[in-house]
Amino acid sequence: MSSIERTVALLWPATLETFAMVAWSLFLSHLLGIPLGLLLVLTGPGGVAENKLAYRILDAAVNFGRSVPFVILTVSVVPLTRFLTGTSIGPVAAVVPLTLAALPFVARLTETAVLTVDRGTIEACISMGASRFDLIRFVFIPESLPSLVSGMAITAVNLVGYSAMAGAIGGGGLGDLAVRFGYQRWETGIMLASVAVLVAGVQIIQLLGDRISRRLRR
Amino acid sequence: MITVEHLCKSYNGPHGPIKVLNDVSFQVQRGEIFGIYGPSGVGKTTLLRCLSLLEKPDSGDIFIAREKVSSLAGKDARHVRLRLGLSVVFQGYNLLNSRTALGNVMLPLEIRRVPRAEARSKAKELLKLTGLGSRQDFYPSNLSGGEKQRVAIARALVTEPRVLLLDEPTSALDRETAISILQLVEKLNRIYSVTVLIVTHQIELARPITSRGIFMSPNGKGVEVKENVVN
Ligand SMILES: Nc1ncnc2c1ncn2[C@@H]1O[C@H](COP(=O)(O)OP(=O)(O)OP(=O)(O)O)[C@@H](O)[C@H]1O
Ligand SMILES: [Mg+2]
Repeated sequence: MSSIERTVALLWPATLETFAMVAWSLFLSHLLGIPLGLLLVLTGPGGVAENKLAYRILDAAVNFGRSVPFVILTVSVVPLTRFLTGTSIGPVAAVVPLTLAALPFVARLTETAVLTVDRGTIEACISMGASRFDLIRFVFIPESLPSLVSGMAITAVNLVGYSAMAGAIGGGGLGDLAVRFGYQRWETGIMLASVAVLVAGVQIIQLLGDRISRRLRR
Repeated sequence: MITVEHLCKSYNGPHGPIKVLNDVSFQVQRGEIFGIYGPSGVGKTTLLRCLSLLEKPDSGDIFIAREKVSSLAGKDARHVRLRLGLSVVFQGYNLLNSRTALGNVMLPLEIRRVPRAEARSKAKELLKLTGLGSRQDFYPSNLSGGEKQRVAIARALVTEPRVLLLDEPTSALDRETAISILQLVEKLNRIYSVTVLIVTHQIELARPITSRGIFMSPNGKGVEVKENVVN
């Protein structure tokens, strides 16, 4: 096996693992984080369902989630990870801490994006008889979609970084590969190649995010 | 149809509360087109915001179709808006940037769960009436100020409201277009006996269609209202 063949044989499955980890945790963190962000907006100051206590609790929970270092989060949720995935190592298991790390971040980005929706536009819809659910469906999400997509790209890039860290503690993927070959065996070629793939991945994510966001911005 | 009694409203300004509405009272009959005039900053928009239940007055009452609405908020306000057929054209148009002109006009019908095809054809009809048939697929960012204003008017009319609150609905329009829009309002008023409250600076344009009105004037404490000054 030539050295190029060997590099590809190592890189390809690791790339797929990283892609799967990032894609799944991106999906799941948005599935949970967007509703949480909307809840922050609805209950927050001046929101249509303003509730000081609920907001304070959610707000503190989000801040708490965002302040826990990723490595500590990963280790401390091992029982949950085991319960959900049946294992605590490998790319499938890594999706649990990755999702939990991104979730409060997504919630905050969603809150920030929705808060930029013009107050007058919201009132116009209220004056038409819109319910809270109508507001979410017709105003909050569509009007902030360009910002939500930009935020999604930021989250995806962060997840690529986190997934490399998850890899280093047994998650698999490109980060794992770079550490195993680069740090432990001094095979600089493999390490550089995996870093190059990560860099390319981040570039592609950002490019796509910017493109889509710009197209949505009317 | 609409009774406003001793309405007071102040806002918290940077240097303490500003009294904007100070004991405003008037009545609007069913099917009337009623003018609200006065210089900038006098509280006309504030008055309409109270009437559209977006703002709660500090004191005083508002009755619409004999129903006391001034203390309502949230769900109750929503039900009243739908039941009484309240519709508003805002001074700043307040269109949704994520929707085309047609999409904006369809929105109040979607909120009322009108079937899509029906909502579409009704919205198209209103856009034609306001002279925007050829702009239906444009997003607000690609419409001129006057075009946006007409989309806002079409959006307010599409639900066949019983009470129409218009805040400077023709301010961005040329004389001819403004007159045609006001004539459209008058026509709807005549056919469906819609009750219309119209805030406007263009008194001479509104005069032919309004029956009565109030002039809001700033005084030391707030606003003094004289009825029937125009006609
Ligand atoms: N949310 C607010 N907070 C504080 N002050 C406000 C607020 N909204 C309006 N005001 C003040 O209330 C006064 C009346 O405002 P309003 O918008 O009702 O005037 P208007 O008669 O509609 O004026 P224009 O003809 O320029 O539209 C203004 O002096 C304004 O500064
Ligand atoms: Mg005004």
